Order: sequence, then structure tokens, then C-alpha cells
Amino acid sequence: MKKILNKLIMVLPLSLFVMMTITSCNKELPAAKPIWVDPQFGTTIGDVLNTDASFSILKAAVVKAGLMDAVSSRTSNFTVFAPNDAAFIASGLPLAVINVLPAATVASVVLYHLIPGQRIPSAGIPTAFPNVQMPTGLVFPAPNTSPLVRFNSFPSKRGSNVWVNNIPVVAADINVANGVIHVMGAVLSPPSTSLWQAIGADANLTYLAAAINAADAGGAPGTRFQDYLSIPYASFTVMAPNDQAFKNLLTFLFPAGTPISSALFGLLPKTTLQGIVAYHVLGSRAFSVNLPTVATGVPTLLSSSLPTAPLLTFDAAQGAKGAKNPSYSKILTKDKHSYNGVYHIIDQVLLPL
Amino acid sequence: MKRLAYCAVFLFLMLPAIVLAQNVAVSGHVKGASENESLASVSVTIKGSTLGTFTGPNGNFKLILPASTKFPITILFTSTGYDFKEVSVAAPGVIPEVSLQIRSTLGEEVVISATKTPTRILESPVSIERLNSTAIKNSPTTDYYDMVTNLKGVDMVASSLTFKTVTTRGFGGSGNTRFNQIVDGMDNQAPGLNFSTGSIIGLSELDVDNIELLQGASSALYGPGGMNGTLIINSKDPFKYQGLSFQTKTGVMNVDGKNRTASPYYNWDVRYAKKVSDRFAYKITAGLIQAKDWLANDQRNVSRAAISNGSIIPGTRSTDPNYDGMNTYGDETTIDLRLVLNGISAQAPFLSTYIAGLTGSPINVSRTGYTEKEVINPNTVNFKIGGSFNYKITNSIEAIASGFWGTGNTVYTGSERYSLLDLKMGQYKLEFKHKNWMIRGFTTQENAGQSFNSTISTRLFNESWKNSTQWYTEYGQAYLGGLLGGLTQNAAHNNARSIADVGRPEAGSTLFNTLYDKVRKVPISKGGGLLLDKTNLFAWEGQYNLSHLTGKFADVLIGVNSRRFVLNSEGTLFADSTKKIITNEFGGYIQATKSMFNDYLKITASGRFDKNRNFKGRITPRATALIKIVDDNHLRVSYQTAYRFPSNQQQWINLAAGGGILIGGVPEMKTYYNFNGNPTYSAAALAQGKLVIQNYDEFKPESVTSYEVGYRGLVAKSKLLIDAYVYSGKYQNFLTRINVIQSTTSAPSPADILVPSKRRVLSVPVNSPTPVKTSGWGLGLEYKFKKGFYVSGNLASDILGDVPNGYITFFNAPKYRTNIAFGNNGLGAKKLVGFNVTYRWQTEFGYQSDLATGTVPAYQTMDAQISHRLPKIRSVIRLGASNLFNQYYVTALANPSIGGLYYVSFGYNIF
Repeated sequence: MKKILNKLIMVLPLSLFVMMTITSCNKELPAAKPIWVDPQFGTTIGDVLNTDASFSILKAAVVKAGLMDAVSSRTSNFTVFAPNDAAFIASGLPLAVINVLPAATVASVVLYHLIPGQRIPSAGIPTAFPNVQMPTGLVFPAPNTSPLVRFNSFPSKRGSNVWVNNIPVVAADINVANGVIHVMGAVLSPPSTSLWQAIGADANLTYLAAAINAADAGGAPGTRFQDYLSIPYASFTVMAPNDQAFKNLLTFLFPAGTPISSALFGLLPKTTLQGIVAYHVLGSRAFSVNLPTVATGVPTLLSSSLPTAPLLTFDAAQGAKGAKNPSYSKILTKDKHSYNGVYHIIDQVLLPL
Repeated sequence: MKRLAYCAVFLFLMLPAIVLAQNVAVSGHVKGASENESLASVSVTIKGSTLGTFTGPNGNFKLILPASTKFPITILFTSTGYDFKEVSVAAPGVIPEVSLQIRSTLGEEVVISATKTPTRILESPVSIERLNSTAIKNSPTTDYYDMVTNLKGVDMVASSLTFKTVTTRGFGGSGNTRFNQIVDGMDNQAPGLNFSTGSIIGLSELDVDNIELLQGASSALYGPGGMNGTLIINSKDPFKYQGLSFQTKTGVMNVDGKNRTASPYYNWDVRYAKKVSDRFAYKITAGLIQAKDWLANDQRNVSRAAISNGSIIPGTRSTDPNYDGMNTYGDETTIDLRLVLNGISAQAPFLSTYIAGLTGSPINVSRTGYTEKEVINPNTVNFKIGGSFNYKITNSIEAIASGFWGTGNTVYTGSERYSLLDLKMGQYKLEFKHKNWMIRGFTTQENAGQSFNSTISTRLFNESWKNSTQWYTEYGQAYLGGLLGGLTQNAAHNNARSIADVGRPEAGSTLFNTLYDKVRKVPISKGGGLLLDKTNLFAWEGQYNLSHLTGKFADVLIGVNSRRFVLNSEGTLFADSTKKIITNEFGGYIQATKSMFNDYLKITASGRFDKNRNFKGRITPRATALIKIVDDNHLRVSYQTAYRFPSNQQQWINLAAGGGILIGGVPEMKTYYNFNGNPTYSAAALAQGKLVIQNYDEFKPESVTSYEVGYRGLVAKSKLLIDAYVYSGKYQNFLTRINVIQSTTSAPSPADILVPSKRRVLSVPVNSPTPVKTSGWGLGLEYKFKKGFYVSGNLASDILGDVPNGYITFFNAPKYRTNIAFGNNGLGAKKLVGFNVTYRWQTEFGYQSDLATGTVPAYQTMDAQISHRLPKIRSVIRLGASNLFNQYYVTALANPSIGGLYYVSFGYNIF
């Protein structure tokens, strides 16, 4: 008996060790804990397009553009300015037209309505001039090579009204899993020309084009007004006096009986001409909806080269007024949009001095 | 070394001069009673004299005595693990065979280090543990160093397979400077790198005679440094242990392929000792270890911001752009991406509003790192060689010239992980010893070889592949491009990383190796990752035991020592780019022991004075009382003080690491960094938004005062040995580091402190004004069963007293750890089979280091071995496992996960 007991005492500790070691394991070294990444569960932009009947034309456009996957992705974020069916129809783009347009064209229209990578709520849109400039999904075409150079859109807010460029947002802030949707009252059409091209092509602005050419004469390429107005990623607002406005000015400046033509610009002192042109150009993009409702002085390009230069006065109801103009010039045609700016046609030449 | 070699030659030349007068001899044979085998290395002495010899490998002895010897004499036979035997001899000649019984009682061990004089362990006045050669040869661990871990209250930090650091009573870490390690009388702390090199260049396992561990403050006798304990390892006397011995351990590790594929483990040791004459003996030892190291693979994210302390935060490479993995290197490089984005914004105004929408708060981005597996060569090699010449100049004076030299590859965890490649360390000693006195001189010669800092090297590697300016520009553009492609923040970051990393050399590719080798071979001071360190230590010490003169009153022991450090890192580690830094220190001690009341009370008082060039002199007293309750049952009470000078690194380091520059605390460093002209600001205060100039008090040594009560006694018919202690310690002028911030502009202003590009972070050692209190207890039991079975176990606890919130103490000790061992060294009819099982468990604990701060999980591990002796060929075959169940554990943060190692060993002539 005692022998057995002795043996037991000896075996006991051993079995105890083995039991202890086998039954409990060392805790694994904890693995690195991922930071919580929002899986963006829930309804995506794509889901909204698929289920909301008022977006049927936009959905067709997105599908045709091959962007349905992108806007449905849970690893993406977009701010979408989404024209509803009524907006498409009002803009002359019913479903039938979308169906016949080339896919690339449709894609550029759709991409122009997106701000990728950020959710911009209406509360995040500034209410003051100058407008913010946001890159859209539409990459600038060749010869541009950088994916960072985009067609820009210009969200703005005045009072409770939200705009993108000059198009009103009719219902803001529909938050979805992968972005935010603002419903638009019309389609934003991506511009296809530069300001310089647009001015050159506008039959009402032949004198303006001539004035610019005359102001640029002899200037080194790259430093001329026409060069600036051609830079794809610049942003200007040009208050563009129509031909009649220039004719009126020339008639006033030259002795009576002088035949009025744009050739007369060549006879004016170049600095005068340059000053006049610069006084018509703002260094940022202002759509008509952004113009101040009470008379407000705004610096022009002239101010950037001549800090003491007079400001240009804007008043949404009356138009723009140069320092030496006795009256406001009316805006005859507004919001002519180019990719690097916008111009408004006015009925007087604005005079700084 | 040269000088020592001359000495050795000199000793040889003296040999023929020794002519023996007419002598008589007593000879005979000694065997073990139960196993009926010859016993080697049995000490054979004439009782009451210093005359003696040892049995040879075949158990025979021949004791030569002067012709004048008066018979009868009494001869005393003693051997580790056996009961001693006295034999009366009537006349010279051959005496009958002497047989010794295996010792069945406990507590008979004799320790030296407790009082520097031989004392029965039962009568040690301070806590002490001892491992003798029997315990070492029967251990299941692969390395005798691991055995120390199983002693009461010991913690070990394993930086790699061959780099282990032990400590007691808290404050564990790879470079623990509060714990002394002394091998054959030589402090084996690497003088420049400040870690103990015991497991790298120490003794070959076959040459370890015994290991003594003093827990707790012990600098009264062992000099500054032993604040938490002292480990003393002694080698085998070539007069006593003779002949050729060798041992091979062949094993396998990484068996589950989790971190590496299964790989072999080789550990070879050889020792040869010869007694040439009664006066002269020598020994040579060598050892080689070769294996693939354990892998440190903690991929958790560490916050290395200037004002955090390396805390672990959530985040992975794919979810935190600023991820900095604990064991991933190169990802310490980080910038705020807004620098790049704002640059893009300035060049492309049409994106400025979009970018402004992103840059409201910092966008910190780290570069892509490489894991430890990718940058550190896993091949660990450790070669060591050593030996000694022992010459008895007279019957009572012995001269010893010895040396150890080791080289190898290993990995060390300091403020970062260091790959110690081709590290070389040598220690050389010349010693004269007499029964009453001892004098020795030694030197430690350190050479860091091709060692490099993995973090610095990998960061520089990244720069050499693609400089950060370019990388971050590409990243910033790709990040923006990704966002403009619609990606979410996280996706855009990952996309940007994949683009900036295009062409990133894959670890192990030719390009990778070429670039990496280039970087790691350039000294840190010249913009690479190479650590140059050829720091040397020269030391001498002497001791005199006056007891033969003062014995009537008290036993008195006095000693002196002196050290000279020559720091030489060529500016890669210390502020020594222009010249070597020389630091001298010296000290002396005295100890008096008085027995009273028939040995029922023994009082020992000792004191020590030390002076370092850079610090004021300092006295550390110790007083102990040993009270005999009954025979073999003693109560010990001690008051001990200890202190240490700041380590050489704490004095003189000058190393850009991680988030800032580590600098030393001596006034010269503060002058060098112009603290007067360009004040430094407290990082802690800045974290709370306040600008507070940091003031510095005098930089002082830290000290500890410790009180301890212990009991050691034999009960249950001397079958059960109990040892227990309770202690409390109070640390003052605790050495710690603080982060301060200094302007880097030519005209410093307080405003610079707020601008990351105009400031730098300095980590400065200071004395904490807050005393740190620790306390703890330990209990150990050892029981011997019949037939040689034994069980032992211990449980110990260390607790840190209250410290202010957020205060970094580096206490680093589990609240509880326990060790249990069970075994038998002679099973079966012929007692040829032995086995041993040890089990360790410790609780989880908070770990703080320069590298990371977090929790080390609780772990358990079990080692086991079974052996079979082959007495005919004096050999033993063993099957063993360390971490038998292959349950991975880490001993400290950023250190490797240690798994199971299974081996077969063959040993020949193991004493």
C-alpha cells in the first residue's frame, strides 16, 4: 500500500503538469487591430438611380456611360449633382436623345455632374464670392496628361438657394452610403471651348476680339490676354461688351466722320487698350446667379497689376458699372460658359479712368 | 591580451624550477556506492590542512605528502551531490576503495557570493539561490542560462535565441543595467552596449561549475550596478575537472512552420582540461551554436509621436496610412502629407478648394516598412572559446590567467532592434589568489563588428531606393488622383501607397540586398546604420580576508577595485566622434562578521564607497543578521543599500533614434546641445498645450534601499527545504528619460517649439524626484522523495508601489510567476535513466521600453528531458524539449515569439 502511495505521489505532479499545460494554451500575441473603416453599408448612389423613377434618364445615362459600377462602389465617394427626368427634359435631353448620343459624350456629361472623393453637403458650400472651384469627374482631354486637371464646377449658395454654375439645386443633401446627392433643376453641360475660342466665335464680340488682339500686339506669347484666356485650367469672368458698345466708344473717341471699324484699336495707345481689356476680366468665375444684390466693388485683373485701380461695381439688378461710366451696363446675355471661364455680354465698354 | 600571454609563457618557464622534495603518497580509488561507478573530480583533502588533490577520470587519486607528515591522518572526500566521507589513514600507501553515498539531504550546498566567504546556503544572511553542475547537467533546457529563469523570482527577457537577460525584482529589459552578472570574477556587461553578454561570450556549458544568484540589492560587495541582484557564474577548476568532455545537442525548432520553416538547431561544446603537475593545470573550452532564430513578429501599430511613449494603437498597414508596426522597420519615417498637398495646391489653384477640404487636420503618412523577417538575417551563430592556465606558485598561492572570447550573430532589443552581426567580445583576466587574499585584473574588449540598427538602416534603405521627397510627392499626387477617381480616403491612401511603392525592391531580391548592404555598412555618424563600438573596460580588484588576524573579535574582509571605461564608438553611439571618452571609477568595501550567543546570532555589517569621475562619491552600507532558530533553520534579516552610476549610455549616448535623439545626461552633453543658449521645453507640458522650459537638476546615481526578512530551513527529517522572503525596496533618484523639445533654427525662439519643421525632440536622462517603491515575496519548496525523486517549486511576486499616472518606471515584472520541477537522476536497477520536467507560468504584465509600451501576455512553458547513461563509455544520451508543447510566448514587447525546441544530445565525460 505504502509503495503504491509513494508511486502515486511521484506520478501525480507529472500528470498535473501535463494536464495544466495541455488544457490551457498561451494566448497568441494579439494581431494588429485594423482601424474601423466605414464599410459604407446601405443604399448607394447606384441603388438610388436604380430605384428612384424620377432619375430614369440619369440612370440610362450612367449605364450608357459605363459608370454604374463606379457610383455603386462602396469604396468610393461622390458628390452627385443629379438632374432628375424633368431637368433632362427641360434641358432638351429626353431619354430618346440620350439613347442616340455617343457613349463618350454621355459619359462626359455624367462625369461633369460628379465631384469624386468628397461628400460636399450644401452646408459646406460657401455663400460669398468668389465661388469655390471643384474638380469634377471629367478629366481634361489631351494634350493634358495629368489626371489632376479636371473640368471644374462651381457650387455656390446665396441665401438658401444652392447652385452649381448657374443651375439651381432643387433638392439638396440626399445622403447615401457612398456619397451625397443634390438634385438639379437642369443638366450641367460640360463646356468644350476656351474663353478665347468662344469670344472669337461669337458674332457679337468681333470688336472685343479685335481689341484683345490689338492689346496683345507685340506681346510675348504666353503673356498675352489671349494666352491667359486659353489656359485650360484657369478661371475667369469676362464682362464682354458687344460690338455696338465698342462702336459707341470708338465713335466717342475719334473725330466725327471717322469710319468706325475694329482697325481703329490699332491707333489707340496700347496701355489704354490693355487697361480697358483688363478692366473687363475678373480672376474668378462668377455666374449671373452669384452677382451681388447690392452694389459691390469687385477687383478686376487691372487691380492685380495696378493696386490703385478702381473696382468694378456689380449690382445683380442693374449689371456692371465702370468707374468712369455714368450708368450701369446691362447684361444682355449671361452665363456663356467655357471651360476656363464664363462671359456675360454687356452693352457698354467699362471704363476705369 | 598580449601581456597575459607573456604571463602564461612565464608560468610555463617556471615549471622545471619546481623540484619536489622527498615525499610520501597515499593513493586509492573512489566510487559511487549505489551506482557502483568510479567517481571523478572528487575532492581529496587532508582534514585541517590545505593539502589535497582530486580523483582523475577513472576515480583514482594520488595524494602526495611531505615526508614529514605524521600519520595517522584523516582524509576528507567530498563531491557535489554526494555525502562527504572521512577516512582515517594509518600509513602511506594504497588505501581500500572509498565509496560515497548519493546525498539524500538538502541544504548542504555551500555558497560564496552572499558574504564572499564560503557559507552553507542554510546560513546565508541574504537571499541566494544556487545551481550546481549536477543541476546544470540534468536540466532540460538547451542553455544553462535558461535554468536561471526557473529560480525563484527570476524574470528573463529573450531578445533572441542566444540573447537572454535575466533579472530579479523587476525592471527587466534587454539591456538591464540594474543587475550585475559576474563570470569568474569579471563583470560581463558589455561596456559600451550595456547589456550582459553572459549568454553570448560566457562560459561553455561544460565549464560551468556553479551559478549563484543574489536576489535584491547587492552592491555592498559587488559594486555599483547590483541594485536588483547579482548573478555569479563560476567555471570549473582544471585541477579538479580533467580530461576531455564534449556534448552535442542537435535539435529542431520552428516545427509548426508558423513563423519560419522547421529548422535545425546545433549546439556543440567541448572542454579539455589537464593537470600537468600538482602545480600546473590548464583548460580549453569551445562552443558553437547554430540555428535559425525565433522571429519577432508583432505587427501591432505603435504610436511613436514625440509625446507618446510608444503605446500600442489600433491600425494596420491597410487601415492606417501612418502605420508603424512594432516589428516592421522603415515605417518610422513619417510626414504630414499636407506639406505635399499644400504644395500641389499652390501650383494648381484650381484644386485648392478641393484640397482645403482635405487638410483640416494632419494627414500623417509613414513610408512602407519591411518586417523583421525581411531585414534581419535569421541565421544565428555563436562561437565561443575560452580557457585558463592555473599555476600554483606555492601551496597556497595560485595564479590564473584566463580568457573568454566569443563572436556571433544575434539580435538585441534596445531602443530599437539591433542585428548584432559579427559581434566580438573578449574578456581576459590575470588573478592571484590565496586563502586570505585575492588580486585580479581584467579587461573587456568589445567590438560591435558589423552590427546595425534595423530601424535606422531600413529607413535609410528606403531613402536610398527612393528618397522621401520623391516618394511623398508621388504619394500625394496619387492620393489626390485616387480621390478624384472617386476613392474613399482609405482606398485613396492604399492606392497612393501602391503607386509610390512601384518598383519597391522585394525583400531578398538582388537590388534589395545590394542597397541594404550598402546602407548598413556605413556608420550611423556618416548617415548609415552601422554601429561602431570598440569600447573597452579595464578593471582590477583586490580583496583581503583579515579573519586570521581579527578572528577573535570578528571576521573582517576588505577589498578595493577600480575601473576604467574607454568609450569608442566613433560617434555612432556616443558623443565621441572627436576623441574617446574615458571614465574612471573606483571603490572599496569592508565587511565584518561577528557570531554571538553560540552562533545563534550572526551579524554582518558591510559598507562600500564608490566614486565615478562624473559623479560624487557615495557610500552604500549593508547590515544583515542571521538568527538560528534551531539547527538548520535560520531567519535572516537584512538592510541593504545599492546604487548605480548611470550606465555609459545614460551618460554619453548620442543617437538619433525613432522620433528623436537620445542623449546622455552628463553636463558635457547639455553644453554640447547648448541647453543654456537654446532652452529645451517639456514635451509633457506641450502635450497639454503649455510651453514650459525644462530645468535640470544635478544628474545623480540612483539608489535603492531595501529591507528584507527571510527564512530558510530544513524540515520533515531534512527532506523538505523551505526558503521564503519578503522585501520592500525604495528607489531614489530613479534614472528615467524625459522628452524635451528644442528649436533647430539659428535664432531660437519659443515660437519654433510649436512648428514641427523647426524643432527636434531630445530624450534626456534625468533623475526622477518621485521615489519608486517596490515590494514582493517569494516562497520556494524542495522535497526529496525516496529513490531519488525530487520535486521543487517556487512562487514569487513583485509589486510596484503607487506612482503618478503616466509615470514610466520600466518596472516590467509580472505580479506572479511560479516554477515547478520534478525529476529523478537515477532510475532503474542500475540507476541509468534520469528525467526532469520543469514548468513555468507567469501572469501578464505591463511592459514599458524605449521601443513600445503595452501588455506582455501571461504564459506558461514546460521543459522536459529524459536521459540514459552509458557508464561503460562514460556518456549520456538525452532526449529533451524546451517549450515541449510548442506554445509560443514572448518575454517582452518587440521580442521574438519563442516556440518549442526538441533535441537529442550526446555527452561524453560530463561532470
